[in-house]
Amino acid sequence: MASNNEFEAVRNQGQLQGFGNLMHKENRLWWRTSRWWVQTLIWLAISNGILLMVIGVAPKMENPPGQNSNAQSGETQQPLDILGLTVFLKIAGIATAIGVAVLAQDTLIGEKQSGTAAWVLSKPVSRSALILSKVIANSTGILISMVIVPGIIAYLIIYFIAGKAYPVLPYAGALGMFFVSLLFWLTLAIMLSSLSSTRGLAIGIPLFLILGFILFVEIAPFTADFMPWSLTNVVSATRPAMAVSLVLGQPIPTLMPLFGSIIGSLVFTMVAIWRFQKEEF
Amino acid sequence: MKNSNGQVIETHGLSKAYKNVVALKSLDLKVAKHSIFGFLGPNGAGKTTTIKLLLGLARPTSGTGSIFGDDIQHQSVEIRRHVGYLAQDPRYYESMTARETLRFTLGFFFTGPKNKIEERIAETIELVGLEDKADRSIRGFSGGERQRLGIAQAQVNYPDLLILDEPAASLDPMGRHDVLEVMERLRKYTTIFYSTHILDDVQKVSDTVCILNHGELVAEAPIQELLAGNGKVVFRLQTRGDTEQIRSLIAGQPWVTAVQFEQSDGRADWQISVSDLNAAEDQLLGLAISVPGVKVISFCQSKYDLEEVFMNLVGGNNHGKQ
Repeated sequence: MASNNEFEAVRNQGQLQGFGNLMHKENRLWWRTSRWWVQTLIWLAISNGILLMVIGVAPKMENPPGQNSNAQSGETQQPLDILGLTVFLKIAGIATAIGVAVLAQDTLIGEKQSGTAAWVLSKPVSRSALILSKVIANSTGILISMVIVPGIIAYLIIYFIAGKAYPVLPYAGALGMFFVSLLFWLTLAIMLSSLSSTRGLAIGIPLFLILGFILFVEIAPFTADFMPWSLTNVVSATRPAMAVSLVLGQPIPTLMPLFGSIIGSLVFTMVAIWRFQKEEF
Repeated sequence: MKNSNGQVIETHGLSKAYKNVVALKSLDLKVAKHSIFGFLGPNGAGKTTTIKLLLGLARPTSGTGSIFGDDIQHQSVEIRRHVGYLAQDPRYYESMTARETLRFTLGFFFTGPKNKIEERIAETIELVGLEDKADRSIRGFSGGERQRLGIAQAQVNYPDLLILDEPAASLDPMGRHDVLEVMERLRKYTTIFYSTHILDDVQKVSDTVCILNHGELVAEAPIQELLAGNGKVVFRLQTRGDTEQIRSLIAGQPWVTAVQFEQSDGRADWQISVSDLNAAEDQLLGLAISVPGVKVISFCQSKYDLEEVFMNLVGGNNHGKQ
């Protein structure tokens, strides 16, 4: 039997012990399995498919050749590009957020229940490294498959159908806001998964918050200040979707939801680490 | 590896309670370097709990423990740099192959060189006989194959301490034999601490045995000492002829503490407990032969098998009960 002298030992990394190896594994789960293209296809179909329906197909159905519905009804309609942008970000803010919550709860609860978390933690791995690797690798996967790819396709759909090319930087900023909102739901679901092994709780609370935002804003308007709802959705007459406003060059009433979501994500991650340190297997 | 006075594992009053259930009561344990330490007990005795406490997967309610001199609560990551662990029901990432699992495991300990890493992985796969399954997804592995992979991942880093929780439980007799052989082979390189309920395996490979029941340590001794009857010396004698004369003669000796016999087919099977081994060895057979009309068919010092010792200590009617 040879000895270990022929190897380079992993050096002591304190609270990040094992992080590199765990990141490699988490990234592998995203990029070397079917997950990346399945997720990309799902969100292309949902986000871009609905966008295509709304600005590509629906107007033709409403306005058969030879008719002008606007003129007949006297309604004022949003320009097609703004309608497209609004719909894309609204779907993104709700449907994709739900998808993230469902995906995120499994990343930790699945491992706790299957026993792989206990196995990994029997190696020289810090618990904070395990949580951080999940947050960072899943953030990257979500950023690419749910934000960047559908975001680029949405840009092209709006450009080719509505004939509008938005300035790239504000549009990228809008996608950034979209990503921050998803990061909020991702870290919330991971935190809840660290607090409980009940899947219902880890999915239910984010879903309740995502779908019930109108109710929350009605009852307690201040909640819109630190929740990510208004990043991609119109929350009230005074709270337009921040991402849409950014792309259209309109004034943004407050940046509080953006900072609130970023701070919330950091707090959720820290709570998840703190709680996971106490977890027993 | 740090100097820890020749002891690899030491615990003092290590206890664990889950809500109102006491899983482990004040365990004092010492595991010497390069020993194969068998950790025995019925289901629910506290074996897995002890292992989890040692590995930092659970926190003790009270008491302390150290591995290689490092505290199990506060220096757990440092401890795990020197430990290989096989869980009772090992679980791995199903999408990975056996080779990828070992590469992933080794990645927590070493960074390179890559060719040496691959050599080590190949050697370990060969050791556990998974060559033909090495590049298949674990999803399709049988229980025995998972167990073999478990042993491979536990020892791929050549740990100074191997902790195996029921290593042979889900293996067929050949697989069990292989596992015991691997353990024997690794003895000179590492210390092996393993839990099991397969007494035959313990008797074959362990040099020290600890028996746990209802979370309490009921015996800890070198296996030979335990098999010798836990301190009690008993001789077995088989005779033909007058039993009453033998009984009164032997029972009258000051070093004889108890005499029992059973008769069948004209033969008597005696169990004679003694307090002085030397006196018994010198005189007992002579006394039996000296009785007129008595023939001695066999005479030996009684050796317990582990099952007998285990059943005596743990009892047969409370298996698994807390």
